Amino acid sequence: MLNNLFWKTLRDQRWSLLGWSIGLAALSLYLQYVYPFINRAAEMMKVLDSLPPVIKNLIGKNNFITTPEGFFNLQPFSILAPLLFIVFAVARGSDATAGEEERGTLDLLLANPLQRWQVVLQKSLAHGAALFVLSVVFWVGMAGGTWLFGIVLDRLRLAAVIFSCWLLGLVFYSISLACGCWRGKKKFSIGVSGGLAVITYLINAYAPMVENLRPWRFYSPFYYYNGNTVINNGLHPVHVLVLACLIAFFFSAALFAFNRRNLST
Amino acid sequence: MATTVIKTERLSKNYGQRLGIADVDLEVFAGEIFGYLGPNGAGKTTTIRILLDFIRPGAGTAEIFGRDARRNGAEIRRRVGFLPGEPHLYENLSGSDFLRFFANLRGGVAWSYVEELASRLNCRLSQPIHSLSQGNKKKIGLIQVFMHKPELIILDEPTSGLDPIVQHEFYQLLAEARARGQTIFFSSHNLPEVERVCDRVAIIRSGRMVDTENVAVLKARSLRNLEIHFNEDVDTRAFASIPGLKIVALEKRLLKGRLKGEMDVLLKTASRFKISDFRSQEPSLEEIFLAYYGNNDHAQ
Repeated sequence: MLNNLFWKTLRDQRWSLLGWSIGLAALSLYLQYVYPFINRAAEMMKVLDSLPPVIKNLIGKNNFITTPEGFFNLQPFSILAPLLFIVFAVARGSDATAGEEERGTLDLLLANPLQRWQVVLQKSLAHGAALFVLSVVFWVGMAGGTWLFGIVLDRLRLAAVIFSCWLLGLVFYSISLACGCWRGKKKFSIGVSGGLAVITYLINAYAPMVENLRPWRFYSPFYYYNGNTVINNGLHPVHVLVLACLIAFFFSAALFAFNRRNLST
Repeated sequence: MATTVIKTERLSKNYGQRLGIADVDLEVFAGEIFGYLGPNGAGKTTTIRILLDFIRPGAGTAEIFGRDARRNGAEIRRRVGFLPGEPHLYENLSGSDFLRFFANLRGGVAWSYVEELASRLNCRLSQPIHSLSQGNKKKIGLIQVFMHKPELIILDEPTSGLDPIVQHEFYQLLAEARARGQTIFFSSHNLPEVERVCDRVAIIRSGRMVDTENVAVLKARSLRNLEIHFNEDVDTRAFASIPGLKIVALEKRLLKGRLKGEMDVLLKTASRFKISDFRSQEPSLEEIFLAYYGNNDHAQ
């Protein structure tokens, strides 16, 4: 596992990845377990239906909660799953180069015959792979739960929305990576990318109800993540392309910034 | 004619308003141990970081093996071993795992040589790095410098934190490396150490090169703070014309002064009287610079 920087980066995450995987699998099974109870809670449905449209939209109730697709679109895919994926991604993106720089380990690493872009690329591939492993575990947990509790849900659509969540995580990963490569400060990177995640989430959530905000939703990665209600309608190719372009743009910015910088001691 | 391994011309770097280095000209030849001497903050680390392409110069050029240090950074570093002043290692790895990882990044090394180095430096590789003292971490840093037998070794204050026995072994390793034809760039603020180890020395102060000397010349110009206590009253006139002696205090039973160069005449004169105590101290680098170069930061 210490053959190169890619494998070392994966190795460094093995315990954290195991913990996250157990947590996500448990969350998936828990949601599958509670769904039938929610479905039967007619009183709660009435309460939810009586909520103002703004609140319904904020909590992601843009689907009938009584169907599996509607329920799972609300929970976890409206807030919880993207939030967890973004937390995992930003923690790693901000640490990739800025963390090493702050800990002082970057000097010895770069004294090896490695180009700076190789460091960024190998670390990013390893972090992207770790996030992908989480996505697979999440899908296995969700799909396994539907089988276990006899819930009818298209497992391909489930995979599609988790794939979209992975892309969203990578967007914020590359933003935090670029900030870390630009300034070499982990806190700065977490602050900027976390702040952007909150702002763009709120824009996307409020935009359908607030006329002035409506055009702004197209600037939010959350719109391209699940604006198409992927669990019902599948992936929208243009949305996938936009997310991929955002990842490529911020990753390129990270490479450019890191290659130009004077590294701190 | 010896091959040039490191060459810088008018190398300069500012950190905002603060001067890092200015117009540094260096030429280091193959097979020599080249000292880079200066007080803390003089610009030694800045120069090294430019050579390794960690930071980019504001002006001037830096070449290693005849190649531009920036454009050919990775290719150059393949042939270089580097130890920073405070090596920060991966704390979650053991010494052995750390060295294996670095060996793999370099395409592999002879592991038997790593074990030999560990044995000579009395370093246990199986322990997790986070549990090691600073001195033991430095030993692992030293092993990663030598393990791939690089053509050029760049050391930034390499002996701070090492105990005297390990320091001695380290000096042996340097001598063996030189004997194999490896070149060593040795940054230090410790004059006696540089005198002991190096063939030539460049002196840097406040970011500017002051001088480049053969160590033999530096030794001949050695400077000492002296204090002699006598058991009897002495004739103070006897010490008035000692070559190289600058008297700081001269009383009937005490002589305090600073001596440049040979001690022979002073000792012979002092031995005419009963001596109760004799103290000789290496002055700080700043004192040496003041004595030889005055307050002027520029090369003399």
